[in-house]
Amino acid sequence: MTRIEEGVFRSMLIGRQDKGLTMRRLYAASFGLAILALVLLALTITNEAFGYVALVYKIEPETISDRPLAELNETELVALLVEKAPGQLPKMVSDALSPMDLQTFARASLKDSLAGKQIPAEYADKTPADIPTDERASVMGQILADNLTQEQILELIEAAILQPTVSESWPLFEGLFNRRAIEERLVELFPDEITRPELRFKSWLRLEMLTKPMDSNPLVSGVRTALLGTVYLLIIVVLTAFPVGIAAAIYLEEYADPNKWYNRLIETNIRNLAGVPSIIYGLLGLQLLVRFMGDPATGGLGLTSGQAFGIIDGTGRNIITAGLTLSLLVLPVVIINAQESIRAVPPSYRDASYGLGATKWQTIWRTVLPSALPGILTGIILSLSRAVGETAPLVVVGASTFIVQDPGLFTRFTALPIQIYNWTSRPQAGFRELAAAAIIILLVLLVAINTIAFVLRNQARRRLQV
Amino acid sequence: MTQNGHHPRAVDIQNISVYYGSYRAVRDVSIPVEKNKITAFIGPSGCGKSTVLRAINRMNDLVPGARVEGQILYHGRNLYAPDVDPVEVRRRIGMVFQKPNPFPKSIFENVAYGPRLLGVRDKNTLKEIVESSLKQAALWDEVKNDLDKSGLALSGGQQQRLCIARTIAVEPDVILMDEPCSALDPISTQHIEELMQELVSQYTIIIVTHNMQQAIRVSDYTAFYSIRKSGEGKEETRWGELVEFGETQQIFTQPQNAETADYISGRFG
Amino acid sequence: MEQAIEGTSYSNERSRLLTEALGKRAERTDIGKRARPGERIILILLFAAGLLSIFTTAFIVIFLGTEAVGFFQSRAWIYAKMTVVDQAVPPVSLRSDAEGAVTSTDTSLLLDLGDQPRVPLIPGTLIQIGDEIMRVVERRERSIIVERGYDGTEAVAHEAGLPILALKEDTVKITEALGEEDVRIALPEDVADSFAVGDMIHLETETMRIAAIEGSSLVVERGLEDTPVRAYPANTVVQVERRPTLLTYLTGTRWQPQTGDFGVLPLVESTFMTTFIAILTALPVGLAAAIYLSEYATQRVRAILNPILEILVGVPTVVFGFFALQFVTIGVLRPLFGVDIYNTLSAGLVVGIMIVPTIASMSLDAMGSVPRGLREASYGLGATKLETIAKVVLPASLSGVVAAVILGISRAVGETMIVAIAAGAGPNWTFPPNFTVGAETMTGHIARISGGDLSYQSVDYSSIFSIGLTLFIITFLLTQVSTYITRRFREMYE
Ligand SMILES: Nc1ncnc2c1ncn2[C@@H]1O[C@H](COP(=O)(O)OP(=O)(O)O)[C@@H](O)[C@H]1O
Ligand SMILES: [Mg+2]
Repeated sequence: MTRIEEGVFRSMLIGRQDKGLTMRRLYAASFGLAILALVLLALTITNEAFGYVALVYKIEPETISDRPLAELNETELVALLVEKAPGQLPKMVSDALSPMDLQTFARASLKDSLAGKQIPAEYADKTPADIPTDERASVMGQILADNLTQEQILELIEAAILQPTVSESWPLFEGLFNRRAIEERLVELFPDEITRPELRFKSWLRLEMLTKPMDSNPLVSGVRTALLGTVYLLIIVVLTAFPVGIAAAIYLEEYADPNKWYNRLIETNIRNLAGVPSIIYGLLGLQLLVRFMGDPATGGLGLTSGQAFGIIDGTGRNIITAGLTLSLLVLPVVIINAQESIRAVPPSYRDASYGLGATKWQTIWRTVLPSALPGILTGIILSLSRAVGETAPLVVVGASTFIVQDPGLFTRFTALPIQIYNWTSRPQAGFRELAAAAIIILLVLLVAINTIAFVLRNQARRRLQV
Repeated sequence: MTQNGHHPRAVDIQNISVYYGSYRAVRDVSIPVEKNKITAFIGPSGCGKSTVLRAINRMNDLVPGARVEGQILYHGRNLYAPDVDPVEVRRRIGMVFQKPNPFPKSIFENVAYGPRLLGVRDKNTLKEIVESSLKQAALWDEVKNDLDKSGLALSGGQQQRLCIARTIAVEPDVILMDEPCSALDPISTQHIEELMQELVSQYTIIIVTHNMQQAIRVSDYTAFYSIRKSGEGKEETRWGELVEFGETQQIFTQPQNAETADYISGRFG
Repeated sequence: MEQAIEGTSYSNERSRLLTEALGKRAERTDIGKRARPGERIILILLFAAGLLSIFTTAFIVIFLGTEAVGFFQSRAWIYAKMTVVDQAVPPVSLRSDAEGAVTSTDTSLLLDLGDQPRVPLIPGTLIQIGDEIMRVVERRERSIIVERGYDGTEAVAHEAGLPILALKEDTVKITEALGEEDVRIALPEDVADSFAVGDMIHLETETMRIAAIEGSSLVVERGLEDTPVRAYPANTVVQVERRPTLLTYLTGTRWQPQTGDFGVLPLVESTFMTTFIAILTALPVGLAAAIYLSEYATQRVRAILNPILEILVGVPTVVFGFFALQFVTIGVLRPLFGVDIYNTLSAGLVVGIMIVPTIASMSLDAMGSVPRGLREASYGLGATKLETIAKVVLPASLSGVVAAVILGISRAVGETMIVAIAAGAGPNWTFPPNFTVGAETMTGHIARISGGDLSYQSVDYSSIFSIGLTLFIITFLLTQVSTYITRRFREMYE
């Protein structure tokens, strides 16, 4: 054995420690990478959800007015509407000012349908249908001019007459930092200076997206139908997966004798199911729920497609089958989490309850479950978050990509992640941006769910403690 | 006293052995438990006091593999007869545990738990029952303004009295107490001991205690258990056995058995 | 004594209240058996809930299994193909001077293009000189580079000036009309050899079986499988049957079930390509994160860093897919490396980001279960922290880390949306693997194909189940191995 000189040892030690420090920084940097990925993700979404567009109009604004539209007052703007789109005016009034739908609106007297709004006195008792055709447009125009702001009327003109479509769109940062290139590109695309569109800032994320249905024009498309679909799916998951999942967890933790082969099988099986890719659940849902329990026309039972309940044109590709598929998907996670929470309930609570003459179920219902509740809730939220973002199984069971009508239980449906997927895959300008806006809505929904859950859980926990 | 049966002994343990799986933890224990008296179980740790106690209200049924041989008569009826319902047994033979274990619920709900199980729904009845139980458990004055507070917010001694109130709320016949004071300070212990003296006019009490002074102070009868061994090394088995049973006075002044004498004089265990 | 009297009154009071509220149930000494049907029913319901998971698995296995069996019984009728001289290509020949002659090993042919310099001898075209067939690899101005001796022909020397015939694939058509009673199908010359006795063929919807081959005709049994026997005019196209076999399924490099290509390899290949990239990304990052959390981070730092992993877990994969396409591909890889818009590299990288938390948290568990004593022993011998990690902690937790990686692989293999968005739409077999071009994975393919309204009888429908079964088997095995290793690892330190 050779003795290492003191000095040599010391310098080697310093080297060793230097190396340690470097590696330590590298390890820490892995989190830097993770954070970087998240930041980039956020930036990418922002970058797409906001940006610049070049709009081309079906009818150029210049051709309908000598002055810029923005300088016209309400009456002048309405005059344009009356001239260019007389037929659409009743619908505009009904949409903008009346709580009624167009059909009812047409047959109700103006003072009923537009209660509280300013209406020309002489027409108050008439219904829109009563007004002679040649007067109707101007009366409606008058009502618009009296009740809407100039900006609102401008929007109506844009939608009804100008009908803009996106010619080109640029993401936010490109618009901010590379304006020159964009302008050059515009010149290249539209050599004629007169028809060359203006570069405009555009927020693809709009509040109306929540209430507007889907549209093939990305400028006006909303996510209402998709959002409703997602909410319905969540309700189905809550109503089915949670009771069943908690029941299974209670069975396994409180009743099942682990020495029995079938109980061990159930236990292992649930753990295995948790690792099955979600798309496989989609195939399960497709075959079991859509095909075999679905449309009798293709040999199904008519249960999930609604024929058994008198629905005629159901195909089985609907909210119910999709919701149940998601339920099956989250079930293992719900069960495993609930099991852990139930296991964590101190045995002394059970002893106390039994000691008072409680039956097994009384003990579970009155003591074990309330104590396990915060943990169970946490698991439920986890699985809800998962269900909200799940896309693949929905694609497989047959979510539609374009739904304008609010979905019913047995109708075709779509959901938020499906929309994101679909819009992301569209080549036309404007749709990826729309996808980014929908992503923001989805993420907000996720944060909301988690916050509610967090609050619920803390309340439950507080109730249990002091 | 009206509802009590006519058998003079509330519980008559006759020659029982308790098994955990194939392990015979206690052998051949026989103890007659007199009505409206306090019977104390003493003995070294692991000799099976808790085991016998839990056999009396069939709490051991909840341990997988646990089994009792022999019989325990309750007002003349064998508790382990096939037509006996363990849930009903536990309602009549209540239990107070070593560590105070109130539910994570309000004080009111803790006491109302038992009556609710039985099916009492009427809010006023529940209130009266809760109040009388807490009064009898000498806790009422301390908590009457905080009935909505969590039972877990009370001090250890208060928690144990809450557990006693919870037990007597269903008007049991017998109360089993498994070292109810071992986790408590001396003042709280004194409270509980006083409480037992008071409860015994209504209930038959069996108490497991580690503390011989306590047995002397509170009990009318004492059962002394000990551990027996046989075999050596790997072959060694241990089990609990009843060594001596008698009036407390007699056990502590004139023990019949040498082992008892050793134990009470502190030369053992 | 006064107190005792009070106690009696409390007790009696309660007995009264209970008796009032409950009647006979308040009896103190009745311990007889009570029927509790509710408890029984509840137990049955709870058991049923537990059993549901078994049904789920059973259904998954049964459905994937039966449809996969259905897939292997399915068949595609594809047009029989033959190679014919492409009359549309203008005449070309080898140059007629001395340099125009080729030996049996030359791969560069000098051309005499006549007065038509634009002859479309694009790469991939088959040409014939004499009896030899060659494949054009590259087109130069006045020459072509070829692959010699193609299609089983022999590479031989050719004289200068020989004509070069461009070949094309054409469908096989019957040369004479076929009456209802006829059993002899006349085919173009040389074509009959490419059929075999016993093959099934289709004319329109009629199924026939080849009983014998005589010269350039096929002798067939007609109207099989209850198909209607009809007369067919000359030039009716002949279709041949293709069926998947386990062998072609597992070794074929083209996937196009409607047209008889049943090789799942392109899908499996791209699945493993994205998975490979994913692990390459996630392993170092996840492992480093685990080491940092386990060995360096203080309680407070952990409280800050853990949520980052949780957020990563919470991001829906469709959002990651968007990120892969918009940022990783369009924003980074395309400007830097000119990759295709869809590519397995970008998808793999982002799948990697997605599984970092899986690998980190499982590795962390593994490192956490390395006994303190081992670490202390190492420090005690004068090792630095890094040395302790590298020489003691990592080796001791190795099998745990391996289990984490395997589970990560299983997650990556089963991931759908990222690859469906970013990896490409369309199976693509590349050898050697090319990460810069689009290639559809198993999951991506299932998602795309099932997107439309599939007929339950179609090959496509059963084919996605057979891919599903393949996927299920792969992920199931991986999960089992991971669980097994984890269990062994736990036992080691218990
Ligand atoms: N649930 C159980 N399972 C198996 N053995 C047990 C169980 N409870 C107690 N025992 C065993 O029975 C014997 C008596 O225990 P116990 O009744 O708790 O003694 P004590 O209360 O006198 O200290 C001990 O050897 C103990 O290990
Ligand atoms: Mg004990």
